[in-house]
Amino acid sequence: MNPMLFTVQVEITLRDGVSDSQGATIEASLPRLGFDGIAGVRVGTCIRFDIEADDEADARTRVEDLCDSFLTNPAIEDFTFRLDEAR
Amino acid sequence: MTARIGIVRFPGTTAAADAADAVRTAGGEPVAVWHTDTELGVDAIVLPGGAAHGDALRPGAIAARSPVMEAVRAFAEAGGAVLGLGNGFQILTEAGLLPGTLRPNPTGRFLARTVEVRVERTDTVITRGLDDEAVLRLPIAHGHGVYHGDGSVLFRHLDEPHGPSADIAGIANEAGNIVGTMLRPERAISSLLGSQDGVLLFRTLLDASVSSTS
Repeated sequence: MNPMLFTVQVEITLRDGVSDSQGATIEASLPRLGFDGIAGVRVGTCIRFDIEADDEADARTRVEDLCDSFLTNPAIEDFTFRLDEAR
Repeated sequence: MTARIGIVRFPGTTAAADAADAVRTAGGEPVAVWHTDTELGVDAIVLPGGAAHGDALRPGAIAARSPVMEAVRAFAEAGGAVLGLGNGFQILTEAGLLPGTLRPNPTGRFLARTVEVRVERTDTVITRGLDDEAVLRLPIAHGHGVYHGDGSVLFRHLDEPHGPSADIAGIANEAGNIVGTMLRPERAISSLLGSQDGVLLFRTLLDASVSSTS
């Protein structure tokens, strides 16, 4: 079977209750900059890459393992990812 | 016998020379260990401060998965003394050798100053022989210095550099042979530097390493 190529976009966010000084600083600056009515600002990380895999299920399994074991710190972060076949 | 203290250098480690100076000042022999080494051959390990791999992803995340860390893990599991300072502490948590993680300073600013801390445990490889609740003056220099986790507290801040709710300056494992702290004792080895309290901790580390390997 020929390997397939997928593009992946992982979004990493801080768990609820974990303080986010960057998000708090951004939120505090918003009224001063004229952006009203915004609350709950949280800063995360987005990581994009391509992955070669046998099929979509194989790609998903490997991306989950990558996120669990390296890209995130499970004690304080959650992740979601989007996976599309590359064209 | 002179204790041989391995100083591990990762790409981006900046305080290896300071740590080596501190080991020499305390009477030990510093031994350079590279992040790709898989054999240690030393009596204790120091993971010095800096910003390994430029703090990419999370401070310590990439360094913790370096070849040398498997050797450090085996050394620690056999009871060897392992001390992580600043970024070295972050690497130990990322490697799972100590629980928890280090979060950014609440102000978002890098903090570099001398602080006072209270010693909470005197059964570790750097605090044996100190008085209970001894107070030390030592520098800090970090951007991610707020401990988040349930580790056993070794040092507690007395002057609240991160506010009253974030007073943990260092932790140790239950056995007391793996220690991580955001304090930088390697920069407190001479009255010219404002404090010599760091020498006490390095002397204790040397004594602990000689007794554990002899």
